[in-house]
Amino acid sequence: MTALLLLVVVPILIVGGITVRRLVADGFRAVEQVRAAQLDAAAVLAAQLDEETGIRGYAATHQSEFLAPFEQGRRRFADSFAALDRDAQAVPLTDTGTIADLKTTNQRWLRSVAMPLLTNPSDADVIQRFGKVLIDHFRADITQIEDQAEQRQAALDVSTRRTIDRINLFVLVAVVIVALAALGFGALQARLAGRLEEQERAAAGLRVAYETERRIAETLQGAFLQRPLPTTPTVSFSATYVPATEETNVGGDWYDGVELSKGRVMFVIGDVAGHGLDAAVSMNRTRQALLSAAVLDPDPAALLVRVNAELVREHGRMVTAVCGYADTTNYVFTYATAGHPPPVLFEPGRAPRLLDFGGLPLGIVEAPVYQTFSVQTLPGAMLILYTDGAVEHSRDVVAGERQLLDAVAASAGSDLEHVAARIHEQIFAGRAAGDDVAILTVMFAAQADAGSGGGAARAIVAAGARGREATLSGRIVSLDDRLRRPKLPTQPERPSRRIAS
Amino acid sequence: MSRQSSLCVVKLVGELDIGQRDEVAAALRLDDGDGPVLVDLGEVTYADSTVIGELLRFRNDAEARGRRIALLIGSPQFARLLQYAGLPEAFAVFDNRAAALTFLAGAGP
Repeated sequence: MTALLLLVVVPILIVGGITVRRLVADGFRAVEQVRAAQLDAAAVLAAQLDEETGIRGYAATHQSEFLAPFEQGRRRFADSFAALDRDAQAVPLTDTGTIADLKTTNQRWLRSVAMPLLTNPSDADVIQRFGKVLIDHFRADITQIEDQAEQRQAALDVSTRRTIDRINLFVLVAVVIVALAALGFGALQARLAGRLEEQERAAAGLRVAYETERRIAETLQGAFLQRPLPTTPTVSFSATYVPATEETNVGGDWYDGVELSKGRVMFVIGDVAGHGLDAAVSMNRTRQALLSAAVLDPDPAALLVRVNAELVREHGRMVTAVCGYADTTNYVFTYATAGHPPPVLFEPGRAPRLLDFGGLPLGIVEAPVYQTFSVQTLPGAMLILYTDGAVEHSRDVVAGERQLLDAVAASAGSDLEHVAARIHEQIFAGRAAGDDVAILTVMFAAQADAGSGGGAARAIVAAGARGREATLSGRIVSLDDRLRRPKLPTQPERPSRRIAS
Repeated sequence: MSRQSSLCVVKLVGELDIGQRDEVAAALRLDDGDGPVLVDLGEVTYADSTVIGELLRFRNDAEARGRRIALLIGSPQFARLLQYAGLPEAFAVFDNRAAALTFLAGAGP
């Protein structure tokens, strides 16, 4: 009987064992290939980011030793790309077009950003004009490849699990028939589980290291991006940024001024909630997003809607901002605000005043409503933008606003380049500030230039010329001194005793 | 945090900044009920942007669960600060507890 049992059981065990072994080995080979492709994709992205970091460093410093990451990145890119191409075919990842596109995008980036900068390092503008778009495109490709790998991985996980289920069944049968054989397979199983765990740990470690590297690289970008404010014959900027006295409190304040086209000068000021490396990274992202969105969309409210969607998608930090344009042909400031204190307007011969504002901070709510405000001003008018540190230093913002308006009135006559610094001085008078303070002023030239004629009369803002506005959530309104506030569609009823409405 | 029948009351006091962020985040938590929510900030005189962010996230949670929510505030300085953040667009804001309770007791959320 025992002999018969052995005669039946032993061949089953041998055949079954071989089958199971083969199945498991196939499963692991496939899983390893997917992992290899994922790591290759990360390496390709790291190489591209290194190239970009080097170029930014060179553009910022004009010193060739800052090009080292660029050179390393270029060398590594070719190897990493070849590895990715090979491993992706082995997996296989179906969409090979995206992988080919990585190379094309890298070449385009080299051609339109890196090469122009290498020949002319002071043309840092190309980073803004093409760099961001191409790098984003590159990242989108990487994300797509990673998604594909993940899907493939998920499918493989299912089949691996099924394989392990089969082993379980086999072992169960074996336990019933031959306890010893069952023990043998149990050991095999344990070894398999151990290997899986080990691989998961290694992958997680790599992910963490890669995240850290990326964050540091992006913070560096932020530091390199201090671009000068433009000067045009009709608009002049002044700015000051005074970091918090405690180093750990250095936060995410920023400002930008960019001449988008003749007669249209964009201004931005913003503040990322919180402090430290994360805030700096968030700041840089928001800043780049606003500048690149401005190329696509002329309406400040629509721009904020766009950037908000991006921040909400990325689960970034809360950001407050004001962005807009100074139109030198008719002395109009057009702007929108998001959770930010109101801009101040100074006009010659008038007391400075707070302008309209409204809208929730960026990055928190799915579909907030922003409003584009326009204010008709005069030659010599100056818009003053600031971050909350300028009015919250005593934690009494009502008093803070009064102080700010007084400081503006007292500083308006000073040297154009130093107005912002003067305002800061007037407010703080040498006292230390607990938070960062940024102040940006945008001023129309006092003398009307020959071409603009009498265009500064209180004309209705040219909303008609911007035909698309009605379809967007922002709209152009012509303003006077009344406070107008947009309403959230999600708040259908207005309570009777609201304080601010 | 205290509860009155089905009303969920969250009360914060003092000057709130990034130093109290964790405490604020812990206090701003919805109970398991489905009643309206009163955020009592009557004794708050200042909140920095991290705390404003927590308030907005709390409002998102309440709204996602279909719960009516109101803010009660006391100091005019604090009211102005909330206005900076656009909060009156997201919350019903009151300077009077009775009015806030009347609003919360009103028709369903």
